[in-house]
Amino acid sequence: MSDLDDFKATYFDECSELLLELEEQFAAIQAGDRSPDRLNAVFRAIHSIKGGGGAFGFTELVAFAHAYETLLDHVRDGRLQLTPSVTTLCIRANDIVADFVSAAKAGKSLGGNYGGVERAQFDALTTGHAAETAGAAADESLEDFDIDFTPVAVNLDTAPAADVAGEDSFAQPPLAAERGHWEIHFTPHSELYARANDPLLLLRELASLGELNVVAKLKEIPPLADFEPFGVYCSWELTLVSPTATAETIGEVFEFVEGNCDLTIMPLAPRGAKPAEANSLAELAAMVTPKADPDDAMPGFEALANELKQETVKRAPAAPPPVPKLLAGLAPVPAAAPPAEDADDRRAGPEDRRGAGIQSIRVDLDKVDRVVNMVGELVITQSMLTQQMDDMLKARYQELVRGLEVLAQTTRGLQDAVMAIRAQPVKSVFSRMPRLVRELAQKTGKQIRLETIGEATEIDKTVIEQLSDPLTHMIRNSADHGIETPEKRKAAGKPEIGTIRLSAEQAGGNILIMVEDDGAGINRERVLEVARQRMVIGPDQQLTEEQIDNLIFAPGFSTASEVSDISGRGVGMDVVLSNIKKIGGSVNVRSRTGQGTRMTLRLPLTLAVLDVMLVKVGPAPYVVPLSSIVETIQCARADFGRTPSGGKVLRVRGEYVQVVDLSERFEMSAREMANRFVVLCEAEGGNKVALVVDDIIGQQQVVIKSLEENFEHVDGIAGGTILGDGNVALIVDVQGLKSHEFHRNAA
Amino acid sequence: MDNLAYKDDYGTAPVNMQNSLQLIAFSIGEQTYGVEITTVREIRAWNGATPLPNTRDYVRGVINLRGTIVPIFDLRARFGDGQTSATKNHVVVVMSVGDKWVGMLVDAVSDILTVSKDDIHNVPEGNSLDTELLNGIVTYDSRMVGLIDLAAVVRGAKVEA
Repeated sequence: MSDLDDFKATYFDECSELLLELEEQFAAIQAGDRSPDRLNAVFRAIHSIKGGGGAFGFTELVAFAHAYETLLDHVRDGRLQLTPSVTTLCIRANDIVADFVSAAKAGKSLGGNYGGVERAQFDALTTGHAAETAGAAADESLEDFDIDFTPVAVNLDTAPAADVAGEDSFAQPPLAAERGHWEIHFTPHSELYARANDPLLLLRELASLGELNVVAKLKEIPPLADFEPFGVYCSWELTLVSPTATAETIGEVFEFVEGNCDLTIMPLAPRGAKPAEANSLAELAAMVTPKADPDDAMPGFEALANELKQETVKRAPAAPPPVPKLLAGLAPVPAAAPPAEDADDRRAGPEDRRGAGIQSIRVDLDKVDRVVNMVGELVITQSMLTQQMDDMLKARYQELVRGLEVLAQTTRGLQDAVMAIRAQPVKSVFSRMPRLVRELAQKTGKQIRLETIGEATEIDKTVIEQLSDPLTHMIRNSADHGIETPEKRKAAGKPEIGTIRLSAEQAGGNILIMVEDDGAGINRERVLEVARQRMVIGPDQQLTEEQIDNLIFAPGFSTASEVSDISGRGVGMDVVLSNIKKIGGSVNVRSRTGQGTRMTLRLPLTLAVLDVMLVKVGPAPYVVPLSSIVETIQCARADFGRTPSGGKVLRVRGEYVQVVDLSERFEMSAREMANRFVVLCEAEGGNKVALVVDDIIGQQQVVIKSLEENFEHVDGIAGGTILGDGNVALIVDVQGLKSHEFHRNAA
Repeated sequence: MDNLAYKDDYGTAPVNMQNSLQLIAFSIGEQTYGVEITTVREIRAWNGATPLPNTRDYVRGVINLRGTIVPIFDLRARFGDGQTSATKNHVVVVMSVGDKWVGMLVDAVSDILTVSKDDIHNVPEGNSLDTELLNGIVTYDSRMVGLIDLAAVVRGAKVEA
């Protein structure tokens, strides 16, 4: 059973990729790209979702996907125009497929009628065009969403030849068939082989159903000179005599190659006319007995060899064509041995292709994480080793120094390479947003367009995972509070369609993710009013515009006067802040009244390794994330002052900054300021805090370790890390120190 | 009971396993305490710890146990007897409490004891710290061994700010 569960997990993984693909393709289609590739990609995606769903028995999903597929089929062969309304319907259908997939994943049912409206629309669209073509009858007979193969031409390719075959076969009256006699036309596509399917196995499987007669059709095989190593030239006509077989059981045999072949299954009249083409000598020679010896070559292959032999003989006197070594054994040729390089070329071909076929592998994220962690440790050990080298040692052991330098380079390279494995383009998160925006636009009655920029920017997967929720909330916020209604926009002289721009870019060691809207901007008076009401700030506190803007991140803060299902509960933006904080990032808001709002997320490229400054407080080592440090100042040169309430402040460049003495805070002992250092840090929203430490030791990279794993959260501490000497150093939580008032507790 | 008779035939199980308890016994000053042997992960010598701010005095800090951070509790201080002035001869017993690993700083590990569950007595009322931190008391070789309630020891280590 666990095998099946594994398959299921893989299927759902694939589904989410395919759904993203759908989203992407339709974005391009909506943007005006009408190339058939787009539609084919959509078709493939839906088809794969359906296929897998069928294998696991997700009937609701399959039924809907099938109906959708029928519609797409109509669009693809031109029976239906891809009008904007059809596109919209398709996008809606994608969303529903996504819902079905997540329901299937959760093991739930969405009820028989879910997506019924869209299905009715599909039917209306497809049957409306149906009467004209033969294929339409097929759709109608499939209307009850039976995924079984019914005796009709299921035409999955647009190749003209296949089309003809399909129509022809359909023309045969199905009812005149005798029970148990079946005729099957099977034309594999190259993808079938590329996916490592073997027709022989399929034929054997069929043979197990009853008496099978196999005829290989070799008409398509070109002269050897035009022979493409990966071309598919062979198809089969099969007759199956089996009292028990049904279209369904036959279809099941081909279940896994569905979509990679043209397949026709139809009942056959007894002693029915043999297909006219099946009479050439070569084809007869290619007939194989159904219960072939497992060591036998593929039936088609044998025939191919024969054909080749004939061809070779024919041409041999003129110029001996090169024969792939592969075939040489099968069909001894009386011609001269082919030129060596040529044969090598041909042999190299398949191998290259095989190599190219496997471009990615699926690896459990846990395994990658383990590697990332170990590489992290390695980097730290390496930097520790380097630190241990004093000048005397350097002079004495030059070889060792050189070795260490190489080691340093290699570890850096290794680290980059490993991080690249886990890096993913932000596209995987961004592409979930169009659907969200569509739904928001629908719910709010606003017109919103989403622009995405920099989707290829890569971030560590662990960061990406934390990004989805914050982005959702930010976009909701923009759609609900930012963008105005079309009427208001018109009155303000703006285009009626509001724009939300989602962009990602790399800036040094950080990734900037921006959500911009061209809406009304933050209503500062309202924010201030609500903040005072909810006691987020004191009644007389004066704030700068920027500080007011950042109030929207306060927990429980919402300016929406009514709670809607989009926003207004006040849980949104503080989720953004806490999630981003958790991964060591920061959030910033800039707003211009009447022109729009821009929220910027600044995220670390990776979570595994942190650049830190190592400091000392009392006897204990602490580390401060380098990304939050603005500057360090000697206490003797620092300009301290006191507020009337007795708190310490630091004046730096005309700004007053709150001072947190870490000795007081952590050691609970007051110390002389002289000979100590101020580390000026920037917390979220550009708020600064000055930490006073006893000593600054240096800079290094550390791996973050959780304190909560075996203990619990400690105020002012963001975690721990292990130094080169094996001791634990604690990571200072700059934001936590800033936001919590210091309470001295007599323990 | 049949089971027991069967085992006796082979002479391999002198004590009814279902009713007995194996303890690791350790000493703090004159006192002997014990914890169930299955909770003990490892025993190591005291080698200092990084102090944790804003925690109770009996939290000695954290150590690096093969790449994970493990907190160390000073059992003497936990029982209200002041901080241990720890030396290299002091011992940290690493145990699992729930899904967490914690270290207990004690003076020495003395023995492995097998006691019968029937010999476990309730902690006499009186000293509230004892009733809070001990699950029971067993007598072994006329020594009194306090059974430590690890969950209770670990609870409430943080100073509420």
